[in-house]
Amino acid sequence: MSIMKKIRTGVPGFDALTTGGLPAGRSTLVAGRSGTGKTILGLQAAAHLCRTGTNTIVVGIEESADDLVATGDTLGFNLTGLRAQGLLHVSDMMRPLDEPTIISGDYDIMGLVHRIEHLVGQTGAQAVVLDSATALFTPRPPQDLLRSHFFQLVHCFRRLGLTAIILAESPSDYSQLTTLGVEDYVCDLVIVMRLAVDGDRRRRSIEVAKYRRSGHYKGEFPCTITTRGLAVFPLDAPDRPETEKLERYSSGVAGLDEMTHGGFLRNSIMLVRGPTGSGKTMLAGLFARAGALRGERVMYYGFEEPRPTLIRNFDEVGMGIGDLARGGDLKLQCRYPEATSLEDLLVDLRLGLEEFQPSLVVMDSISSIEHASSEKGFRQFMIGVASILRGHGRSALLTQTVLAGTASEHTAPYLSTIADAIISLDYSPAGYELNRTMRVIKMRGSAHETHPYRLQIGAGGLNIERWSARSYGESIKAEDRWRDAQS
Amino acid sequence: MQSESRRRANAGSGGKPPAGTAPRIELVLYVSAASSHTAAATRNCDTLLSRFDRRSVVFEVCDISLHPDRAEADGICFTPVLMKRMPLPRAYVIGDLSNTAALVDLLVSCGVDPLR
Repeated sequence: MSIMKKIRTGVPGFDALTTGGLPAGRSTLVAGRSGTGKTILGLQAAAHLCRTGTNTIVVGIEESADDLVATGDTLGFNLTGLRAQGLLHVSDMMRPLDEPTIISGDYDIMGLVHRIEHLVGQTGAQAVVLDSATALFTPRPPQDLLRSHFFQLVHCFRRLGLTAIILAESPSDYSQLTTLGVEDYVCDLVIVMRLAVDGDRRRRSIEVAKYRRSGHYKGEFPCTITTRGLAVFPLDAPDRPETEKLERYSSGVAGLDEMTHGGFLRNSIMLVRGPTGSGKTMLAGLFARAGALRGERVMYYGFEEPRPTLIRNFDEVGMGIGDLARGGDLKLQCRYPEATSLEDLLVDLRLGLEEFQPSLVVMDSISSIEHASSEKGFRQFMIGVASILRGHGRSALLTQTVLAGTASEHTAPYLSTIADAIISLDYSPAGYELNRTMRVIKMRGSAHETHPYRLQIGAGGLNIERWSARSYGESIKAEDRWRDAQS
Repeated sequence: MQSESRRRANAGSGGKPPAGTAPRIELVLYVSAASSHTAAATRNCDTLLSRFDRRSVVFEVCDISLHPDRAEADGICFTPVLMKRMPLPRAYVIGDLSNTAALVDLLVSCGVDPLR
């Protein structure tokens, strides 16, 4: 296996997905239906290549040169500037619609080949973006001719040492790769972009379908188009040191620190599962509060109630969250997941991590996101969240609502692998007293108590203590008295 | 372009030029020295044009491998391509012209007469 040289595209996440970027001097196919972001990917990569010393030719067949440049400029790629500096060359090959074209006999694609040779000679370009193969081969020649034309073109790129990005239209998201059906054979890297209907939402994703002589991430990964172009999740993890110190910090609740033998571990993700009314939001609030009081920055995403209600409820039990939120170390972001796309939430989370630099993140609850999306969309979202958090080396506490009595039962397998620690809250409403319990189900990197602790909600938030024989006995006695009173 | 063609059309005496004195059609055959279809296209063109009044036809062969800038200017991607440059609008016939019907139609529609 020879070592393959790769060129970075600068598209966030893309270079991680492809373990290093595009194959240098080879052709890459980007396939997708109309509107999936192929052109944006092409222009964004072209701009980055130009800025990093690889002059690039963009061949526009589907859109005019001016339209392509305008598209890129809107997204901040500064194609106009790169063009003026002579780094980018945009060739307008759009065919005039009012001029008839008739096919009569055999032909080949040498005209375009000579033009590309000429442009490369003139500009010293080492890369080319073709937008798109589908438009180039319209009207479409017979299949065998088409194959040979496309091969001629790719061969020309190869001969000239060009790193090529060839865009091609797909007939649908999940069937045949491209409408022409010949492009993928001769390309070393094949990327599929999708904008799939997912329930009543649309979900963008990107997949590496093939990468000759190179490893790559498998499967569909979420991506989104922001005002700054395409961003792929979740694979934008910056390099972090291989080893890290085992550092503990308080969970914000004394009893829970005791259960975990000294508190939570840094750079880990905690999943708190429990039925409604079991104290999840309270625990999330105490976790956030303790962090802010230590002088850490905390980002709190509340998906279940508006910000004033959340602050009021916390303040009602004397937690003083309102003052901390106004102080600036605790950022409370309340929103309804139904009103925004999961990809946008991921962008938000990442921008929040980069700009606000919190060391702790809270999401209450991921279930409200789960209910507002499909299973597949939610799974992609959670993997994205975990990757962003791990990439930035942050700790997070996520809450999840489950049915009473099931908090310690199965969770979706990917959620269990994402979580470094799982804490289950539960209660049994059968008796006289609502016996609330908390239990640490797992905790990577630490020993922990395995039996349930007793949890009470009251002034100051949560009180967690060992389930002592005495308190258990007292609740039994109270239950007996209640039964007596009933009869 | 449009006005230029009109000027040329009006240049002869009495508005309409007498047949055979002014070119009625301008054709460019774009080929490539590297293309295997060049010989057939050139031959097919020559054979067909010899059956028409050549005085009405301006015909030129352009090798794109020598003049890529001309292909750029005229938006030629495939070879061979026969382009009708005049009169406007332009028209393109892609292929080696093994089927001559398209070219015959072009000539006749521009008023080029077949020989006897």
